[in-house]
Amino acid sequence: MSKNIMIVDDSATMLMSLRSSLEMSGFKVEAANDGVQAINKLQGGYKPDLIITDINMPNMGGLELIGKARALPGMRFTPILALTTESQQAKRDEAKRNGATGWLVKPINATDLLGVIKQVLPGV
Amino acid sequence: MNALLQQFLQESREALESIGSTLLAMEREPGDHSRLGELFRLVHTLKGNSGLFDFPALTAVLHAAEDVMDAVRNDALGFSQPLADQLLDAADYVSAFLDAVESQGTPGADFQVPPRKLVEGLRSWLATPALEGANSGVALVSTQNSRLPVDLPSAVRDLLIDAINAERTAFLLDYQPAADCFFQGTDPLHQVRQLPDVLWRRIRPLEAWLPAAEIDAYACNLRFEILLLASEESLAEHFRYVADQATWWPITLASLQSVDESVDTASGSDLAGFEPLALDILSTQYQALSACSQEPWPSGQHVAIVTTLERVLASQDDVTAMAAFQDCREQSNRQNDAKPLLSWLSGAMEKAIADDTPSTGPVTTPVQGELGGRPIACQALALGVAPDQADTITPRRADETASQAPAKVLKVEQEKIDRLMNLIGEIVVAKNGLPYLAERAEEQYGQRELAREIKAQYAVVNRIAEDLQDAIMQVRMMPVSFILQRFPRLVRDITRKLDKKVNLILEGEDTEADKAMIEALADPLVHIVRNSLDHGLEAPAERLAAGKPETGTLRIRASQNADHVVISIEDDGRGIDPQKIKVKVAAKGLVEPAALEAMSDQELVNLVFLPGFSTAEQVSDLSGRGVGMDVVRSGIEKVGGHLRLASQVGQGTQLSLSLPLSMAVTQVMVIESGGQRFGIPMDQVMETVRLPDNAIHTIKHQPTAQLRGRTIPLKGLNQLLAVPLEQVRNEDDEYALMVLRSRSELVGLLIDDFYGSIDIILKPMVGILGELSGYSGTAVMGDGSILMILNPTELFA
Amino acid sequence: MSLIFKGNVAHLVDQVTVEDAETLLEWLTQQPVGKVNLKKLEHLHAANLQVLMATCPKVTAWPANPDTRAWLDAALQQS
Repeated sequence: MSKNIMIVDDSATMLMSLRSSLEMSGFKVEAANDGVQAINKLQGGYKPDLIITDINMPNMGGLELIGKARALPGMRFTPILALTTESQQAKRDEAKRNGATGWLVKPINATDLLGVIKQVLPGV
Repeated sequence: MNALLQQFLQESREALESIGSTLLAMEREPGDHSRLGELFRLVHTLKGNSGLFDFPALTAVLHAAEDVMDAVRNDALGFSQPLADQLLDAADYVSAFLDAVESQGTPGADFQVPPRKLVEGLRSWLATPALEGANSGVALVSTQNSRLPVDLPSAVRDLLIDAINAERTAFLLDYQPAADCFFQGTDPLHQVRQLPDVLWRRIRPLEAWLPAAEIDAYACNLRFEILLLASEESLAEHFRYVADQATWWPITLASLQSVDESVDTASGSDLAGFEPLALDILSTQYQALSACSQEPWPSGQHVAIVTTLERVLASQDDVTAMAAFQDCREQSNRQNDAKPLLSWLSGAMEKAIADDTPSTGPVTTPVQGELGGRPIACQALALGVAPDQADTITPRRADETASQAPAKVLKVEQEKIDRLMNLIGEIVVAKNGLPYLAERAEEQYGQRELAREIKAQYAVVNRIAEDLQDAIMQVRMMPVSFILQRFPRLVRDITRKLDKKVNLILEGEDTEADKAMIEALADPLVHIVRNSLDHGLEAPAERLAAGKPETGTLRIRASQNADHVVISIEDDGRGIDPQKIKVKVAAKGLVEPAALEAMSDQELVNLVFLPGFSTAEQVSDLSGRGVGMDVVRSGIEKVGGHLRLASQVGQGTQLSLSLPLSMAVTQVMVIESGGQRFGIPMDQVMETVRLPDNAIHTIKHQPTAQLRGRTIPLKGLNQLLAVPLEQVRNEDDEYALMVLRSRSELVGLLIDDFYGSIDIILKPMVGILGELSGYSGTAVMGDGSILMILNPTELFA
Repeated sequence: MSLIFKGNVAHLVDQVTVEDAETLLEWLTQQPVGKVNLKKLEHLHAANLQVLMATCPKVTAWPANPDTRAWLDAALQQS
């Protein structure tokens, strides 16, 4: 059974890049443009096995999304990865405090991405 | 070009537009910090995306810009006009870079190397070097005895010895997941199962298990001890998300042999006997303190460090150390200097390490270098001293706060839409063949029933075709903001050059019109705005002298009016003086003096549209360029639009452009003249009448007719097209007359006969035919014949 | 289903998720003689592992997967 991954980023380029990497590895991908859209999907009953979210986004950023997603019933234990850049150490720490499992550093190549996913997602 | 690159280009251009407009907005309101976050986010996203491609020059520029914006956002750097200029330069560079990539697929030779001047210019804003590196050189690591389990099976021991002899590195790992780690999506067991080459493992509870009824399944109480062969880098990588929960020690042959040695901690040092974690924290605090020792005492960071030190010392139950620490703190407070505290901490740390080293025991002395089982400190570098960073989530724009979920948007290349459009056009044309077929079925083959069925079928196809047309029109609709968003930058640049002060107001940017219309608007609009800035709006001194505010106002407003989109451009400048126009036109001999004298002020103002007219004394490099308002007007009229000009001397000028929402489908009236059929755009047809021969009166060689109390000049189409035939009259000796509106004047066009109106897809004429004036294009009819579409305005000119 | 109860034996099959841990704990506390069959277990979330460690049920069959077995041995087979 292929795992569901939700990707959240306000950059369509980033979404496209992530989607193609993930789909090539056999994941089912759902994309959202910001935190609000992501939360709406989650509240609508969509239950991904993993969430990968950008930090800086309009409407609702990644940090807030992580906190809000964790509070949803089915999302208590779901792995969440924050997409950060090299310089965002403080954001990573904050993401972790908000409940993120880990982070990815942009730009990400497909191999690294799959490596990290394998690490946080059992049964891949 | 691959899809990802295309997407990148498109998104980057959008980001650039936003960056440009945000920068300008910030220049207008320098105190408004709400936009900083947005600006940073835009630059940041661009930079992140550029990293997906091999564009080192682009990334270098964006990286520098991002660092500058970060500094501005964190108040480390003030926002100023020179800085805005620099950032706009960077935006221009990025734009040129994207152009190169778009046209050639790669950046090309000009964009291989980062533009040194630009990058350095940006970086120069960040004059003070960052504090990073201050920690280097201070390598304080607490030492740790080998923790190899005593009860290691001998088989594992042998494996270890073999591996180490084969130059593999072995580590003992101690992973104690946080109690709440499950709620961060971590599965510690999965985590350790991913480790390579595990030789031995043990999983124990961190604290004794509670009775079953009191257990919390989701409070992690596990401790993993693992012996494995791995590189230190891979371990650090593997546990990077839980760096504070995992520790590892390298295993050497010597430490394997010394497993049985009992370990004592030397005493006598200030910090001897401290837990390794405490030593680590102290060492981190030492580094942090030395980094900020120059700051005036006590800074926020100093206070944080002192608090941390105090807590750590208190936790270690060492009265002597605590007392020494408190003494030094008092001293630092008295001297307002971090030095006393710093020197105590450094002395105590060094002593602790010196004391600790021999404790690894005599057996290990020969290989001391690789001994001492150095624990790899994973604690974050500055525990407790990282200043809380303000959240950078972009402030919402008021118009974005509407909580409804945004519509899904699919971005499609224009060529695809155009193709669809053409295909739909063909359907429209093809379906027009059905009535002919029905006619033939009935008249040629006497199949009345079949003809009726074909007609019924036609009605269905017709409806679908209309819906299709409507749908594709909707797809092609785009907001006027697409062209309006370039104006803030344009206005800023021009006014700077002219030393004028102008406040640009944009309204109704979300008004939509067909893409082709929007594009047709772009050039004329730029020209109009340039004109207004150049000739309309006065310099500040002149404005003040005229009793007006120093800063002029230029307002561009878009709105929708039935099936037209109206763009009005208004300024509060000096206006157009009809008398000056009159003098100039007379001097240039563009209009006969007698006609000029008879003109109203409004008519005089409209003369600016005359070819060869230019209001400015000299053609400036801004609005000049040899293009006059006549070109603007014909550009607008070419796509079926109208242009209206009004002006009050000393008060300002208003120009309004009215364009059809869509130009894809045109309704024309089919007429016949000189044995040929033509189409005339319906929106110019005021009415069609039958005119008796005797109703035509010739005034000054000009045939006219009285219609509803107005005298209308008459022209014969044959005559206009140089066809040597009389217009045909019907049995009752009546002419077929069409009253047309041409530039707000009514003209009567005499033809041979009218037919019905039809919808056509207008195809502009190309090649030699394109130069023919009097025609706006052609259309293919249902029977395959070509219909020439007339352009009455040009015809009457 | 990754967690199947047959009589007094809980079968842990394939992937036992973190959500299952509460069910497993509840079942094991209510069934003092409850046993677990791990034959077809591929992986269990650490929360389940600590439930097994804390409640020490009798294991009727160990995992066929050697790696899974090694980790469970390390947690449960201690003197």
